[in-house]
Amino acid sequence: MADATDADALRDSRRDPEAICVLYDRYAGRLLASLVRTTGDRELAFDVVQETFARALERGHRVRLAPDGSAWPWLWRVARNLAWDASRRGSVDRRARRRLEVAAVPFDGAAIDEAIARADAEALSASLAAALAELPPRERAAVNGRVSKGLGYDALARSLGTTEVAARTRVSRGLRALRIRLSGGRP
Amino acid sequence: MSDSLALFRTELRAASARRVARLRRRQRILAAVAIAAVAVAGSGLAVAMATELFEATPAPPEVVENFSLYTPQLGFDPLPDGAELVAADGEFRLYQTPTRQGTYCVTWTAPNNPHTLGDGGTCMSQEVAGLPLVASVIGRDSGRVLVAGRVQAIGAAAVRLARPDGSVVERRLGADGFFVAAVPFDICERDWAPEFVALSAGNAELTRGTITLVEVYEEAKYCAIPGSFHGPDG
Repeated sequence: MADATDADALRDSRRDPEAICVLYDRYAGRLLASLVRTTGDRELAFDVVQETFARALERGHRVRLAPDGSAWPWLWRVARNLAWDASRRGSVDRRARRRLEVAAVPFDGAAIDEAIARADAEALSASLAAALAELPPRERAAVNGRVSKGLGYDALARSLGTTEVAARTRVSRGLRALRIRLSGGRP
Repeated sequence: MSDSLALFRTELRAASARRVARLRRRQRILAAVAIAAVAVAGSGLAVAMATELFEATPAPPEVVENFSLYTPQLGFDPLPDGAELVAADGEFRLYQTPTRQGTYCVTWTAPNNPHTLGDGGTCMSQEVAGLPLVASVIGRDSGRVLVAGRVQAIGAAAVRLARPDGSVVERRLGADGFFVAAVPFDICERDWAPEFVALSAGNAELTRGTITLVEVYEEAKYCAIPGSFHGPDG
């Protein structure tokens, strides 16, 4: 089920109660983190996340998917509109939750922070993997050996078949290139 | 997953389970209605009405864009991303989208008339959105008028009305009780206030009401077409 596409999950939500959870597990943390960045209000963000997924459940297969089949643009648009609406009204619309008879869930700030941190780490991990893949092979192997495997420079030099000075140079160059790539620039 | 998020996940799953159970119950009821229709009416049409439910589908981009053109100063905020096809008659299509106010807006398209879009559609007030039976002429195309509306009576499957010449027009309801009927009519020839009858899948009458669609003022050579859905007269 975890491999189901967003379209599968939404379509199957008409007959399988677990299906909507696939979408929730996939996007709830990211949605929460994005909303907190946008609104600066963790409690409001969590409230909006709940209403957004309640709406997704209600709409099911009628959720408009992006050309690549992702439900994220729809979720983000709905969440952003709800947050914007809440800033005018002073409270988040709860109609979908009321219609679905979803009970109120208490806000736990520490737990929400943990979820946001995890979502941010996942996003960073994806960016890091992409930036690593763009490094020249020799620098990538050096950074992997030093950072991922934690090798000392002598062991790293042996595994790369080079001198310790050359290994240090490759790691240094690789890390510098990663820093630039992750900050949005090109080396 | 954090405690709060995990708790809501549990709630969401429970709501989903209740919804699945509700949908299954509805399917069983529809199946029972279909069987009853066969037994009582023996009518192939009734079976088709009960089993071939019109399913809403997302509206094409030009319709979504049209709803986004609506002037919010008129008192409604359509949510264009929710736009969906809710009824069709031949190549005529009726679309609806919800509003922030909890009501809905409609617009339509026709193959020979590219000018049906561009006005943002027509949005309904709370009062109209809550009526069990509403209708209106919403446009015209190639010698026909387009009558559209909505029936919100439990179990309704079709709507019937009479043309000015007495001939009967009957259409199956689309998604969420919406309907559209392209009817040949010389629009300024005479008044037209037909009686609309909502029918169940078994052809039983559920509700009825007379709704003015066209009023002709001969002296002024003018005919008024209330373009927004409205309820029965009086």
